[in-house]
Amino acid sequence: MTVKIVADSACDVPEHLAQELGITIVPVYINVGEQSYLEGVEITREEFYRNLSSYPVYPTTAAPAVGAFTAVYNDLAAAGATEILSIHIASSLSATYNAARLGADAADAEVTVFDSEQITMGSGLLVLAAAEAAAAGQSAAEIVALLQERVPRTRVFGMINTLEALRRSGRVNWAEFGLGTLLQIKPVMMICQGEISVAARIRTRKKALSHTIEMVQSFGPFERLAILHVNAPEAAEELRQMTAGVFSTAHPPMIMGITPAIGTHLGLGTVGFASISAQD
Amino acid sequence: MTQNSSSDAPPTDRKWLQCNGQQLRKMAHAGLLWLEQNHEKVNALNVFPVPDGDTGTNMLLTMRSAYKQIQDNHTTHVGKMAGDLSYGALMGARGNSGVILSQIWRGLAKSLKGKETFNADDLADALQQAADTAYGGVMKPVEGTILTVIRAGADEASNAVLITKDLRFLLARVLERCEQALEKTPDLLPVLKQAGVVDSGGQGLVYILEGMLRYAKGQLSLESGAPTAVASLAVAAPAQAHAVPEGGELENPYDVQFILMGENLDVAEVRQRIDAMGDSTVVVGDETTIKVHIHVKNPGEPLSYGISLGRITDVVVENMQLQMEEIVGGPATAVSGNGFSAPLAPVTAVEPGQIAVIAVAPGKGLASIFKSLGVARVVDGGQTNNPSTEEIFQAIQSVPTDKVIILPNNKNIFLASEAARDLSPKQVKVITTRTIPQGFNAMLYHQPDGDLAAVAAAMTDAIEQVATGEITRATRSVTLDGVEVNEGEIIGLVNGRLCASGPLLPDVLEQVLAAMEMEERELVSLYYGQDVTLEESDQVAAQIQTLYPDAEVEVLPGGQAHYFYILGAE
Repeated sequence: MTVKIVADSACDVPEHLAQELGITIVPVYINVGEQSYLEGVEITREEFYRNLSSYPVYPTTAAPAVGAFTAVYNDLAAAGATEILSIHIASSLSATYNAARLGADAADAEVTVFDSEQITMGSGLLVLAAAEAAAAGQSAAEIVALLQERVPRTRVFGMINTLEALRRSGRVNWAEFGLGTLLQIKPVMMICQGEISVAARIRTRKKALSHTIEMVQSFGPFERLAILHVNAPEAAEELRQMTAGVFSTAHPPMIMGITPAIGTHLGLGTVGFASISAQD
Repeated sequence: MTQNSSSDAPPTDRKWLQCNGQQLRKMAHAGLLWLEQNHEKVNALNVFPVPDGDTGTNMLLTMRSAYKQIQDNHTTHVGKMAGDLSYGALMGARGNSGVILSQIWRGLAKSLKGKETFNADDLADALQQAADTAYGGVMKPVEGTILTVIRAGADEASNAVLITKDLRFLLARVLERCEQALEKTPDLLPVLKQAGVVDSGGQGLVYILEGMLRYAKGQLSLESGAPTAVASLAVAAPAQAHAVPEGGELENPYDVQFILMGENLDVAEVRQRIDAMGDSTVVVGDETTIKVHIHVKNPGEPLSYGISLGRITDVVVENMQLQMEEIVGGPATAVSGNGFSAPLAPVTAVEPGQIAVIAVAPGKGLASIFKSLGVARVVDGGQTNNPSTEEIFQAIQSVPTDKVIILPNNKNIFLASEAARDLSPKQVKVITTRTIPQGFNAMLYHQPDGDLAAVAAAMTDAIEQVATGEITRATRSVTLDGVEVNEGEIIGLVNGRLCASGPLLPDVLEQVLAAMEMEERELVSLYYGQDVTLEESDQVAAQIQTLYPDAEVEVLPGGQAHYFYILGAE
């Protein structure tokens, strides 16, 4: 029995871990005007963020094609996978899960499509847990049970640096979130089980950072933890130093850049955490 | 590009009874071209007033991928052609609308599989299967979307084949029915009605079908994508009577889009005024933010009108005449400017059971900021103009909930606020904010759905985070808090205590900033009064920046009387 794990590029699984654990990554699209790029294939993250300010229109994102999933599933089945577990970013926030589901319907393979109800490394940490379990010989059904049990204790926190990108994204209900402020604010957002909420509205970056850390800490200790950033590696490193010894976590925290597919919605300079709390 | 040999084209001089592979290819091409010309209008049909609606773009990219798969395909076998088209759509589908569009093609292809050509009955069956497949392509099908539109078209085809076998006539019936269904989408989906738009995905589908019909009628050239005759086809989008070029000249060559931000905007009025300037009008939004899309002769006209009502942002002006003359699908000659980038400020309505906040504020600008932070009612008043107990009481009674928090924002208004609280049968908390910046900070911790006592406690804690500076003119000579003041001098207060006096603003400002402990602060907000201009305020901001280069400085119109500047720092 061979279980293969598939994820989309918006899950932000670090490349070296994807290779090491044999995870297949399906790229999502980034649209710049009428140009469309496969993320990580036709445009690198660095290129995208470097060029962001020079694009004539603000980029948008789109789910991979149904056919791309079908092709990946068929290839894996042909290469000997007896079961495929395809894990994707929240169906409440993206069409990717549905595209994978339709792709699975058309594929000649045994595929289970799983909604991680998360984005970026919130999904990625679950993907890693799944891939490790697959390597240890667990069946797709066993891995799904393991994921279902972890989803409610998986969270992503983000300190939004500027509201502009979030406003453009059209993905949040401005009025409901109380973000229509004329003043500069740095909202701290939390994503859990497919729902985005604004955990705090704070006016300065320093205070927002310490508030974010306090809030994350209240959900510890952790099974897995990652520090995230939208093209702001220095800020992420600063956050790692600030939190060294603060968080108790089984796996050492890794630093991961957020995919342009999600970074375009959050805005440059956004930093945060992805975490799976330890079981009570 | 592929050839456009007329022998492949559907006959226009007699009934069109069978469609072969090449004709299907050309029909798909026509659908693509028409969508290409109109996809920005689909993008504009966005429920949210954001500039990046992308339904049109996603559908266009999906159609392009579909057509690319067949553009060099010479087969006359319609089943094979449909299969390739479907494969291309599936591989290129993006976005929800693109995925559904690819499912429509997939359903058609499944139904047409193995057929050398198709007739009207085949098409009716294929459209039914297309609608079924489209519904199956969505986890939770929602009516009032592209699904409703394709279903209506399929049902019409099933009816129409009973009276005609002419594919062109059948397609015309299908399009007409789809347009009707599109117009009704706001009745099925409240969010569309609220935004004043029809469903964007449905509109995209209608454009594809319209392009096909135009081609079948000989009204669309596949060479340039331009209509070849004045068309009689109605389009279902609101107020979209196209100025179709006669002799290649567009009546309204400029496509103008912008976002208008202001206060108490009247969307209906704006729509009417804008619509009178040109055609293809789309005006959607609310009283603070309106997205405008219009085709005009003179792009200055809608822009000037917008500026007269508020601030405009995300301005795009495109010359469609030039675009039309270029190769279709080539780069757009877009002039994109973004001079302003103020965030949106919709007013939050309070619902029964929620906590409403009432704030006292002098000045329109300060009132706007409070509203943008979620204050339900602003009572006009301040240092020299204390509101009465009754005014505050009326405000408490006017909000549709029985949980209320009051921000007096001045210590002289505490008593009136407490008296109003005691008069009201509602649960009322007074938070003792002494300054406007304290009131703003308290609002950041407001949670409409929270527990009244807990929310009031969090808001009270927030007061301490901000230092307030106030700069005004002395009305008499006095020595107070150890500061000697001469009448007419400029004086500075920090957290309500007098701390500086002098003839020159820069000196007073410097002392005020020092007393606000600026070296430990990250952000200063400067709210300028009604007697000060933006230019003067910018100079003050520049002075602050020079003194404290690491701090961020934001300048906002406060509109308050008497106080030249109010400063908040944290």
